[in-house]
Amino acid sequence: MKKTKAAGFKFEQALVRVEQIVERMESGEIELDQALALYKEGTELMAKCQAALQDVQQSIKKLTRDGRGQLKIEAQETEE
Amino acid sequence: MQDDKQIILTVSQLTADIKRLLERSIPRSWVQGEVSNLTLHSSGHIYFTLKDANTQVRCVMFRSNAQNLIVLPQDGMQVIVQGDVTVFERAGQYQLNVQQLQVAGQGELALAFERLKKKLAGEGLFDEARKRPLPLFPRSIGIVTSPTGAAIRDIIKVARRRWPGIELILYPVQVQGMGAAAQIADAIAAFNEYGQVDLLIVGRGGGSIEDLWAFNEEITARAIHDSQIPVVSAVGHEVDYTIADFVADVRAPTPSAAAEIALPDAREVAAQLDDFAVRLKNALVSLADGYNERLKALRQSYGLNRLADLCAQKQQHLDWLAGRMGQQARAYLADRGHTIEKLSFALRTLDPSGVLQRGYSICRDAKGKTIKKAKMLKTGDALTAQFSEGSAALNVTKVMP
Repeated sequence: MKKTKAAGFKFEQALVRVEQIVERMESGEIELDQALALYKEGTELMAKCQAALQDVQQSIKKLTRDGRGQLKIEAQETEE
Repeated sequence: MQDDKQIILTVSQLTADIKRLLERSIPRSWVQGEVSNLTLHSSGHIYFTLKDANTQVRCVMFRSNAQNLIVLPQDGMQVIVQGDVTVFERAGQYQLNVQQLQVAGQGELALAFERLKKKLAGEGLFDEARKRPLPLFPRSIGIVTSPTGAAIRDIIKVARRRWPGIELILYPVQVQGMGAAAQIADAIAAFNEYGQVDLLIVGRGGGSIEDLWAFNEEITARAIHDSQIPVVSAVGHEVDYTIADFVADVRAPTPSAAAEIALPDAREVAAQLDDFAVRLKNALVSLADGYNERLKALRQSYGLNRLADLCAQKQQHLDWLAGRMGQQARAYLADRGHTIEKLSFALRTLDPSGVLQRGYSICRDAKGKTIKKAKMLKTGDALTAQFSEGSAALNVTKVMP
């Protein structure tokens, strides 16, 4: 089965993690080494989120059953 | 015994006669009654019994007629049917071949709605506890609706605006008329089989209560209930409530609203990301500033300065010690010098030759022993007197102790 482009990347998890990182950093109670590692992790996750936001699906797909009841997925151009 | 002239009919011949008689003599009629024992056959034909308080009649509605139905009749529903009386020869039963079926007024649909609602509520299908939260950031949405309706266009438009990266998968179905509910139910099952969508939007645009009826059917309700994927119902307009709305995890007032509910607004999320980016950077800068401040404070701290002070103190102490040592040494040496002088003076004083030079002399007896007291002598002892230069022999003439 074909998966979406963003498969494997969970937007929600990434966003929650970024928020945790920001809050942890803002608490100030953190070693410099750890702060730098978190900063790196945070910026990388945000870059992935930005990429996901800029992702654009061009067409919609159609799911149907064939005569034998087997599922079939294909691109469907719609009048928009 | 039978009369020779009498004709003996077979059952088939009798039935054929009855059939001919009934079908010719009873014109196409409108009949009202309550539906019971309704069976939806896989062939597409519908079988049911129409009854009133006293009696009943078997009815069949063949597929060619049934497919024009807007509302599938339900048991207990008052309907008006138009049909022809026929005989089903194999069973020898007369029946009504239904051409058209109408629900006997809107009140009947409302009653049917209430009956099903009560039944399903009783089974717990509407329980709030079993409603699932929608995923906050779905990657793929399954849509069950007509491929040509306004609903799909509205959903696509709103979804693309809110979250351009969203994958939309349509399972095209008929949303009204005979078989629509079965198609909707099958489409929901198909998405569950497919398994790769995060939520389902099931619905259609506005219409009459009859148009929306597929969403009031039990088969649709059960399919939504059985779905492992959360379902957003989106049927008709804001004022339309269907059984599907009660079973769905979330009811959207319209298909457009369903897309709004299902998807976050990418612009808001982008703004939030920007905010996170600023906060993250500020937090790092402020952390770095904090470390700088601490370094500065440390540099100026009593502790560090105390260390420098300690060094200075030690240095000074050393100098002081060195100074003192010099002094001590000098004092010591001076002291020693003095002592030596004194000693050498003493030594000089003690030198007997010095005493002799000052006019003293030393007397010794014959054995050389120094005479210190007169009583050591007796008259007649021979002595030797030593002078600074030379000596003399003496005789004792008188002792005066």
